[in-house]
Formats: sequence, structure tokens, C-alpha cells
Amino acid sequence: MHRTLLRVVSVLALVSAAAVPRAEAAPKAPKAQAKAEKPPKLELERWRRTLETGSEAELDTTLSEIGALGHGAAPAASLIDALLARGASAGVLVAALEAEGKLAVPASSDAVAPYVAHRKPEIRRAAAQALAQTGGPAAVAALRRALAGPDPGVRGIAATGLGTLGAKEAVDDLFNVLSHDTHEAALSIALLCTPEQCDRLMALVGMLKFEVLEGAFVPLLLRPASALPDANKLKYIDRLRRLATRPAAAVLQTTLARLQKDESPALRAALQAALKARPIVGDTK
Amino acid sequence: MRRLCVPALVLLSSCAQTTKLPSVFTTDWLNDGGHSIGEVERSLRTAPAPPSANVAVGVTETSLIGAPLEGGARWVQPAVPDTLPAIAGEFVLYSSRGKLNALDAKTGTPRWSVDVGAFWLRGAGDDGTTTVATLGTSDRTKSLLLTVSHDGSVQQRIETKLGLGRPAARGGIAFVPWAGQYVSAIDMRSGDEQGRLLTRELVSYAMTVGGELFFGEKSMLHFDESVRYASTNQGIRTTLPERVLPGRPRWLGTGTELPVIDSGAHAQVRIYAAPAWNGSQTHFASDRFVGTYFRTVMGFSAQNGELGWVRAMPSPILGGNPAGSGFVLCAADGKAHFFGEKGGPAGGVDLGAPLRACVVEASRMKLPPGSDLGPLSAQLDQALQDLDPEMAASQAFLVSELGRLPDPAVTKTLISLTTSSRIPPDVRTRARDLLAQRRSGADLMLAALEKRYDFLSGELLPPPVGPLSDALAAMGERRAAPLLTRHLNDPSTDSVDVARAAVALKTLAGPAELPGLRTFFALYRATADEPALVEAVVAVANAVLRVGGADGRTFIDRAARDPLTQPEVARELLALTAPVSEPAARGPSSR
Repeated sequence: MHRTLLRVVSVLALVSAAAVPRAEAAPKAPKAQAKAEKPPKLELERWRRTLETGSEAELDTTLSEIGALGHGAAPAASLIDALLARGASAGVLVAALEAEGKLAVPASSDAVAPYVAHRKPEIRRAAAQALAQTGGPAAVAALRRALAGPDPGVRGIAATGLGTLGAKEAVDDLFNVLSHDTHEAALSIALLCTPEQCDRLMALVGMLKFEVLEGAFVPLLLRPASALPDANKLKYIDRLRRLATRPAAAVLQTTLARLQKDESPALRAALQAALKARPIVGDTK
Repeated sequence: MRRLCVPALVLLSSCAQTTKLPSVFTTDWLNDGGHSIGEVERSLRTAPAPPSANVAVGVTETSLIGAPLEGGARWVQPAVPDTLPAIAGEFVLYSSRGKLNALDAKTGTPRWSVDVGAFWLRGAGDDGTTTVATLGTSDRTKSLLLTVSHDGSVQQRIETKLGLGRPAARGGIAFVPWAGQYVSAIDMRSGDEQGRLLTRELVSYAMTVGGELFFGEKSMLHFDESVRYASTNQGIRTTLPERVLPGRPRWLGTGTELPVIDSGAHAQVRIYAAPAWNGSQTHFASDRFVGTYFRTVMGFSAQNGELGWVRAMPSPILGGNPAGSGFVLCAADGKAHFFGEKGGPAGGVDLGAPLRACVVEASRMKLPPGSDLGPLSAQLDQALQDLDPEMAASQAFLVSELGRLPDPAVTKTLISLTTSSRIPPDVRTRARDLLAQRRSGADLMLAALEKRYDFLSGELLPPPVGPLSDALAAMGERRAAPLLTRHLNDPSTDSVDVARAAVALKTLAGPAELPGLRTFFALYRATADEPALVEAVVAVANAVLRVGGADGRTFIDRAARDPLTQPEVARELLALTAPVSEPAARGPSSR
């Protein structure tokens, strides 16, 4: 029981970090934020000089400095792009890729993408993480290529990143790696799937180990009704109920707890019924 | 020739036998310049050729099984022989429990049996009326020469401490090799030595093949009018060409050794060949010899030793015999396979039980050619696919043979071998080496390079990028450049292969490859941590300098002076850029 709860907690953490793909995320209010925050001071010329001629320690410091400013330092992204195009030591490359991730400029994806195929695992993983944040078509293409690569760590990061980036075109690839021990793909599929693809994901219940799919269920059931109709969700709740296992019950309990009060009474009723081991009322065929 | 009787021994033997002192094999004999053997040869010119039976005889745990090769019922005779049976004329001979037994080769019917005490059968011959056999004790201290008429009466029984070889018979004369250099021609009825052949080549076998007599061990001397000159190294002889084959098999071995029943490597790794006489020259039957290595059967030219055909059989080969044309080889599963001269399957017989050993006589059979095996490259490909990984020695040999063929199809086979998990690592390495030396099949190589590691599609073994790079560069195949550039930047490509691809790109790359080359250079000029990657970065720098124009030169030049650049790479880059830029000794200044 304790272990199951731990799993659910970790799933929730994942969901918090990446649950809503960019395409489905509620629109932010960047203008209001911009008014509230003072724009950072950008020392582009000093940074350029350091990135072109500085020592390894100076480079590290400068990259940390730029990265700490986050998206506000976006104009500096081209300086880091240039550094990546020239190449550097492993430590500097990792710092540069982390900074690119923090700046999250889609145009940087072209400069970051080759590093996903670097021979050093720490560099290619940093690159995959960065691409999940820079986004854009180049990032999606590179992450999809990374799904086919030899590094399971990179495949996991790429699978998560594609979910974060809302790369619906990658769902088939994600299904492919899901059956090859890349568990991270389950959550991304749950975030991206069309109703038919979501059905396909749920059809894997009983075929793949529960732990492989576990991360997918809560975000799947919490998808907006516009993306996934309640009728589908009712079927999924009933499928989980029929498993009659503690982990499945924990998933249902967590979903119920996270359901907004004013959200889908039918879904709430179904979750409550399922937790009492009662069949779900409604069209679950 | 002197002959002495020993009454005590006479009493112990059967009515017609006469026991000899070993004076027949005396070593104080004076070389008669071939006179005596010449006389024997002359007297036997009109003697009829000895009969023979084409038959395969298998040894099981409890019995002998005979299968006539040209039709007829299989026979089974309960027996546990001491040594390999011998097929002599129309008899199958074997020793067991103190007796030497003769069976009818076609029917298995017992024909005679004589006491031989502690002697085990070594070899036998037959002239149609009398059988000669040599036997030895298991401690190798004594030999026995025995001549037995077809009614079972012992004609001669001669014991000696000499090691006697495998005998043959013709026209009432037994030919018995001994001491490595003599063949005594002994009257089988009287025991008199009628003549003696002295040869300067090792001799421990006398054999009748297709009705002709031959003597030798490593080479074979024909028994004809020139035999009288053998002592001066003349005479008409033939020798197999030297070839180092997997398992280092021997052809005949030493004829004075007892032919023990051994179903292990000694029996399964052998050479099968038979001398033949065409009226004026000694050659080898079918002009070929066969080498076996367990399940691998290889046919070679007897002229030059070149591999002519190869097949992988379902079961290891235990024994066999060349036919007049083709070969008959029998396998541990009890099947006797007929091979045409060019290796094609030409039928066979089934002995019906798993075998411990097998002997075959087929020298008067003319086997049909059998079905066509196709080109040698295809045969090698098929055999390599059919062999298990534990057949590494024969796989390595066959791969080497494959590499010698100019056929472009060989390239495809070598490529598939380098990516096959069924192939042992050292054989795969050999295939890679040979692939690198290919100068044909460029399209097949390019097709192989199109493949890459792909976890999603299950393509988990990358192509042999290194060997293909070497070969394509040597062929000047510029179509390879984009493919090699792609593999250059693929982390699943082995770093040594990356270096070879980079070296190939030094000459093959064009301007279209520049972005890929620059990417590789950027990724590794400061992170190369193994010699192969350092070599690759420097080779790519060469390529960039060649195709990158002024921008490319600036790019490399700047990297050469960047303190972050890996020191070995920087040193090489400075050397590369020095002739047309500032002196290398000036050292790093800016990036």
C-alpha cells in the first residue's frame, strides 16, 4: 500500500511538471507578467566576448548568469547558438545546453539538435532536456530521432519532451517505444492522444505491466472534455475498476481527489462508483 | 628368399598354414635396383584386376551395418570390432574378440573366421581368391601378416616386430609396406618374398583403386613398368597440393597405426582422395580431393588446391571414399551421401542408425554429377548460413575463400556476415577485413550504408561503416560521402569506424557534406577522448579545409588556437594550418 501511494505521489509530481502539453495549456498573461517584472539587464557584448574568448571557468560563469535570467535573456540565445556551432569542452557544452533550455528560444533548437547524437551521454541528455524546452519543429524532429537512438536515457527524456511540446505527430513513435521499456512514453501519449489513440493506450492495460502505464492514467482522466470525451473516460474508469488491484484503486482515488469541484459530475460519480467496486453506469462499451 | 619352418608354431595353426620367421622382412636386403619388383610387375601384367564391392559399412555400438551403394538390401551383423573394418575385394573384414572375421560385403553373410589372438585388424586386400590382412597388437609391439584363402584356410601367418602397413593383393601376390620405405611382394600361398620395392618416398599403404595398384602415404606411386625405378625417385606418382585446411586434416595418416574407432575430431576432420590411373599418368579421382570439418564438406582441385565447391551437411561426416567420379561420404546420422564431382547431391543410401564410424568402398562407381550447386559465392554464402557458430574454424576458412572471389555478390555476403549475430567475433572481424579490401559491389555497399541503427524498427546492428569506408574510398566512390557523413554523426557507429569514415571523407566529401563535417568537428574537437576520435576530428578538419573554402579555413584555424580544443587535436590542427597561416609555434590566442 505504502509503495503504491509513493508511486501515485511520484506520478502526481510528473503530472505537475509536464501534465499539460503546450497545445492544451491555458493561455498565460505574458503582458501582465511583463508589466509586473522588471526586464533583466542584458550584457550582450560582454557575454559575446566572454563566450568567444573566455576561459572554461569564465564560460561556465557566463552561461550560468545568462541561464539564471531565463526567457528574459532570450536575445543572448544566438550567442550560445554560436558557441554550440563552434564546439567546446564537455563541461561547457552541458552548461550551454542547460542555458539554452532556460532561455527556451525555439530558434535555438537547430543549434542544440546535433548534440542529441553526441557520443557522450551527459551531453546528449542535456541536449534532449534543452530541446524539450526550446521547442519548435526542429526540436520535435530531433526528439523523434532520439526516440530511435541507442541511449535509453535519451529515449526517456525525448518521450517526455515530446509530450511536453505537444508533438501529436509523434504519438505512433511513442507507442512504439512504450512497448520497448520506455515508460515515459505512456504519460506523453496520455497528454497527446486523440480519443482513438487513447483507446489504443487503454487497450494495453493487461498486456503491458501496470507500472509501465501507471503514469498515464491520471492525466488521461483529467484531460479536458474537449480533447477527450467523458464517454471514453468512463470506459477507462471501468477498465481500471475491473482490474480490482490496489494500484488501480489508488489511480482512481488520485483522479477523484484532483478533479475540480465543478468538473464533470458524471466523471465524479463514475470514480466514486468504481472505488466502491460498482460497475460504471453509462455507455462503457 | 629363405623360408624356415618352426614346428611348434605349425602345430598351433590350422592344417594349411605355415608360420614364418620374420626373415621375409629382413633388413639386410641389398638394393637390387628395382630388378625384383620389376619382375613381379611384369609377371602380373596379365593378372585380372581384383574384384571389389561398392558398399558402405557403418559401425554402431552393437553391430556392423552394410549398405550396397548400387542397390541391394541393407544388412546388419552383430559385432563389436576392435578397429575400423576393412573392405577387401568382396569381403568386409573386422577383428573382434580374438578372431578375424570376413563377411560378404553385399549380404553381410559370414564367410570365414580365423583366430588372431591379441592382434587387431590394421588393413586388408584381396585378389579374388585370397585375402591378405595385416594386424597389430594394441601396444604396437608386434604385427601379424595373414593370408587366407576364400574357403577360410590360412595360407600364411607371419609375425614380426616390425610395423606393417596396409596391404593389397593381386594375382596371388600380397604387397605389404613396412619400415616406411619398402613394399614386399609376397607369394600369398608360399610366403616367399618375390620382390621388394624400395622407394624414396614414405610408404605405408598399398591400395587397389579401380583395379590399379598404388603405393605410398603422402604421395602415391602407380604399380607399372616404371616402378622398378622408384628407388632412384622415379616412377609415376602423384601428390596432393599443400593446403592448410580448418582443423589441419591429413589424408591417409600413418598406415602402420591401428585404425581405431573414433567418432571425434580425428574422424570428422579428414581429407578424402584416391589415386587414379589414366593409362599413362597417375592423377586423383575426379581430379579433386575433399576436406571435411565436421559438417562442412569442401571439394578442392587436386591440381592447385583451389576450393571448387562447399556444402554444409546436416550431420558430421565420419568416413567415406572417393568414387571413380564423385565421392561417397557417410555421416554420423547414418546417411551415406553421394556427391557428384562438382559437389552436387547425387543420391545416397541410408544405413538406418546413428554411427560411431564408417568405411566405404566406391572406387569403381561412377556417380552422376548431381544437381548444380550454383556459383561458389552462393555456395559459400549458403554454407556460412547453415553452419553453427561453433564451426568457427571452418567459417573463418570459408570467409577467407569468399574474399578471394571477384564476384560482386561476395560483397553482399560479407556485409551480412559482419552484422550477423550468428557469426563468431573473430570470423566477423575477418569478414570486415575482407570487406575493406573489396573493389567491387559499390552499389551493394552504398545500400548497406543506407541502413543505420534504429531502435524503433529493430535495426540494432549498424552496418560495417569502417570497412565500407575503406573500400569505397579506394574505389573513389563519391556517392558514399553523404552516407558516411551521416554515420559520422551517429553515436551508434563505433569510434574506430568513425575514424575510418572520416579518413574516407578526406577524399570523398564535397561541398554538400560541409554542414555535416562542421557539426562533427564542433561536437568533438574539444571532447575527443580516445585516439580514434582524435584521428577522426583531424581527418574531418582536412576535409573541411579542402571543401570549405575561406570560411572553412577560418573555422579550423580558430579551433586550432582555442585552448578548449583537445590538446592532441590542437597540435594536429596547427600543423595542418601552419603552411598557409601563421607559424604553428605561436600558440593559442583567441577563439
